[in-house]
Amino acid sequence: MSSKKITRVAMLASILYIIQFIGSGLLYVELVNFTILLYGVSLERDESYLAVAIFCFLVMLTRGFGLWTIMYLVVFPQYALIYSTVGKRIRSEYALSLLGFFLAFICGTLIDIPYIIAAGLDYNGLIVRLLLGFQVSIVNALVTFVATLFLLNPLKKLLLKLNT
Amino acid sequence: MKNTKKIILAVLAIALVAGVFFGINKYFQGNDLEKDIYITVINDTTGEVLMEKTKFKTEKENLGDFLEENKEKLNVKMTDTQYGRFLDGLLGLETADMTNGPWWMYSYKSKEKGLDMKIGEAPGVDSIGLNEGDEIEFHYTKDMGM
Repeated sequence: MSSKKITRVAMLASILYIIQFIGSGLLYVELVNFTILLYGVSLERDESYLAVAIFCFLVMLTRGFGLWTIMYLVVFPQYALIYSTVGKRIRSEYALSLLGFFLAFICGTLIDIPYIIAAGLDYNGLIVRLLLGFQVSIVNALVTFVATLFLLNPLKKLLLKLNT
Repeated sequence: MKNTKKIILAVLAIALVAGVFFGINKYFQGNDLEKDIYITVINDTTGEVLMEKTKFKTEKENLGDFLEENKEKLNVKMTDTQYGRFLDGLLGLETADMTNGPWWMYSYKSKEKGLDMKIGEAPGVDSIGLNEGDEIEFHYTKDMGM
């Protein structure tokens, strides 16, 4: 890997970390999912995967090795792969926004899986936990959807310029 | 034209999400009518029952507001977080070590809503709606229900 590429990956991971850090103070508004989508569909596969994986390690190093930070590493780099393989083939920005909506919506539940298993919830408890999680996830999904609709193309152009 | 389509789509998505968001909110919401609720407080570290199924009258819609209303009587200490209020202290017992506990946990039963949440299942105090006959059991414990 060239030093130029390493620098670019480090920079992209740092940008994602800053976005996550700012968003962590706001419960319902986060642009991490959108940024991963942007990286996935705009950059080369190894670049987007590495940038997202390094971001997850940064979160782990600064916030501790908790279950949720480990789940970040399990979920988010795979999202970058999905966007890179599936997202790049999608021509319609509406369909891409819907994919972003869906993945952002299930993201919270995926990260919550170890907690759900550890809690050994009964049916009622599970429904309550899922519903309360959906309340946050659906707003995050909406933010990802709207951001993809309006910001993806201009930011993609900007990222592609960086690559040249 | 393309932007108009996007704006319409965004507005529709916002309306849909608002519907789901407030629908879930309503499911967990309590009512603001006068009602009786029952509070039990147990110190699990010593096994001492500090309050047993004591009846309280309240018009508050959620547990957070009820605790605020009875701040003096129950010696309540709460802190505001981005997820809502967090219960730190009750009846003189306060969490000193946030990492290792003991913490204040609670179970919640509501016949009216058909809910029975054990310790670790119940959401934050601001997300627990209050209805007639609800039973809340507070435990000062290291058991997070997980």
